[in-house]
Amino acid sequence: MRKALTIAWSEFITALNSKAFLISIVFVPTLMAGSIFFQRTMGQRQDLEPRPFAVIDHTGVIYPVLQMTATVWNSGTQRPAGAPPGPKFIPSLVTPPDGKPLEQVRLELSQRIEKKELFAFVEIPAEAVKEGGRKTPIRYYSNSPSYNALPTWLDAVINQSLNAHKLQTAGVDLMLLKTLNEKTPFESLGLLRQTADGKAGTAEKVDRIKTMAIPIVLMTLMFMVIMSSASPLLNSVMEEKLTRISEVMLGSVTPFELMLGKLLGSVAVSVTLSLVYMIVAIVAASYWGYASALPPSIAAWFIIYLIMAIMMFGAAFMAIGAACADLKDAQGMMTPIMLVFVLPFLVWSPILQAPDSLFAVVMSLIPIASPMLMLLRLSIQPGPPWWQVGLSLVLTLATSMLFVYAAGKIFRTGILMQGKSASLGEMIRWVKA
Amino acid sequence: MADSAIAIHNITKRFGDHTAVDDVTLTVPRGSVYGFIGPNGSGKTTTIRMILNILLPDRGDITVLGESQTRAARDRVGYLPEERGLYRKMKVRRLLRYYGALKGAHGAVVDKEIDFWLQRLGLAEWANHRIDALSKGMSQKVQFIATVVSRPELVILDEPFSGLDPVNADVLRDAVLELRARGTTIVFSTHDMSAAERLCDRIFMIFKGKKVLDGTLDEIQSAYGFDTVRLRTDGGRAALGGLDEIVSINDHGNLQEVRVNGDPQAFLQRLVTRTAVRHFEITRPSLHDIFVRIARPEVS
Repeated sequence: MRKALTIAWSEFITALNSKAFLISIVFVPTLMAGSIFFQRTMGQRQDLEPRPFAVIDHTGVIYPVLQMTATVWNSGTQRPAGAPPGPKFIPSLVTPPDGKPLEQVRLELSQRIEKKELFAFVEIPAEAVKEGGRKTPIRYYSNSPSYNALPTWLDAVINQSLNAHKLQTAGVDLMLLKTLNEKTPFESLGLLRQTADGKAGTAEKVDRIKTMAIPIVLMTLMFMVIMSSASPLLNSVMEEKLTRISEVMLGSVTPFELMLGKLLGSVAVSVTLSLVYMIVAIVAASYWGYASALPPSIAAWFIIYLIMAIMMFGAAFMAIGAACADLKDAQGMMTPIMLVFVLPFLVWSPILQAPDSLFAVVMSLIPIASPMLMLLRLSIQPGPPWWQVGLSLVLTLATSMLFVYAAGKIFRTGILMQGKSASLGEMIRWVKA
Repeated sequence: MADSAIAIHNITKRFGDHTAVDDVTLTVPRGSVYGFIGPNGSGKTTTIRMILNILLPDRGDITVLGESQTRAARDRVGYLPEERGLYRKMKVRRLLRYYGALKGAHGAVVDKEIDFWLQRLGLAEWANHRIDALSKGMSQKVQFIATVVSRPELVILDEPFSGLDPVNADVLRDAVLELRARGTTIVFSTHDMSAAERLCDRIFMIFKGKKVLDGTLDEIQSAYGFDTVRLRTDGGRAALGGLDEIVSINDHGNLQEVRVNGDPQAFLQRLVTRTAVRHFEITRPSLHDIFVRIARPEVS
């Protein structure tokens, strides 16, 4: 074990001094900091372009309301506190001259849009204020089909104005109607917990970011760390095999010590990487007011599952590296492992929606998927029952050990084999030997 | 067997249907320089790997430095494989410390040895350079230092001089002699027969997995008798054609080594009638000649 630790330490120091580690350690924090900076910058650079638009109001009653609403909108007084400023909507009424075909008016307005004199024009049909007039649509014309702010605003404002007009025509008291229709807020909460003094605590408000974004981020982070730590083991083993370093090493250590040392070195690198990422994530979460979303227990689970995942996938990658004579063969053998590796990404969505469903329980207990999927479930309150977590730990640990054992057997034989890659059948025979 | 560094008893190793080492027995005395020779694929490397416990024999047993479990002696054995393997991105001193640590050697001892050998092999100023900045010869010397940095009692050198220029080969040969002077047992696997003749106390030859030679150079050569004539003539190789006494000719260009069947004096008499003889020496066969006689019987 002493020699395995010596190898692990050397691997760890070598990795720490490598450019790849430097890039990894800088990449994620930079990405996070960059996204915060980008959001802040872009937040201040909202769409502030004035959007002049023409209105053909066949009803003759909606335009004044629309103009007044636009004035209020443009003043920004109705906007919630802290909301970013929006574009200014500048309406102008177009009244088609008598006898002039409507098509001609529409064409002229379209040409003005092309000349950038207008951004869009809207046509409110006369039937809109009549009974049953909803069948004729309000028509919005623009040369920017992907721009949503103005049509959404127009849709809401014109329909509200039309409803108000119709109700008023029907003699309904609008103020009374508004009071009666006022929506009661709906809040989604967690469960109440008993406090230390035996009283009922307060239930926490369910937060979409906390329940959706954080689990996905944690799972993705684990995937990235495993990929950046375990897969280089394949290249490292193959390089040492082809350059005969492994033969020099085997003069001093057993193949299992060599493999275990490299594996532990990789675990140390990934844990270091994760700790840095975690610290950055906690700082970022605190910045956005989600400090409580990343409790220390989740960080601990992350590290525990990460270690087992690295042992499992790292051992598999090392066995392939030892058994193959060139990178092409190794990539071919890696494909099925990679398919298994990305399994959690194919099933995370239904698990996130129903983390206590039978599907979620079964999937998160499959050892190769457990590190990512059980972590996903653990990061969604209230988390899975303790027996499921315990069973997942036992199964994953047992599988990790099995992988290390089998990989050790393949590694022992494969590392000295030159010039030819082993077949899957040979590898199975080596494991059985 | 307390005075033996390696004691091998009837070991056999098979890979599938191929028998790489077949019932080999060998004793390497402590403090000796033992040459392992044999053609490629004859079982040398497999034997060495079994001594190092990298491979396990299917049959037989091996005792290394008094330990029947060869793994137990691993830290007291230094191994320089034929194919060099160094971490190219590591700096020389760090790499040597790492290899020393893997042998369980104390840091201070390793540092002292590193300084000694770097100085001895003319690499002192390269201690803090990366391996990939070194020339092939320098890398080979670093590999040698990595082998001996833990002061092993037994050193196994597989082709230590291959690819070296004569100057560097001499430097490394002196280093091997330095090890011998310290009392280190050296197993020296090589295809360079003249180096084996010059350096080795005893020679072991393996061919097709079987031991075919084992003894001092004198013992081995004596077994073949004085049937070899080393000669230099004006006619060279062409002048030897059609002489019935000649069993085989080892042509070195200016010099021919001829194996003669019968009386060498009669052979000389016939030869002088054909060409001017400048040098005629009745001698025992060289190790090279013996090697060729064993490995290529159809030619010799």
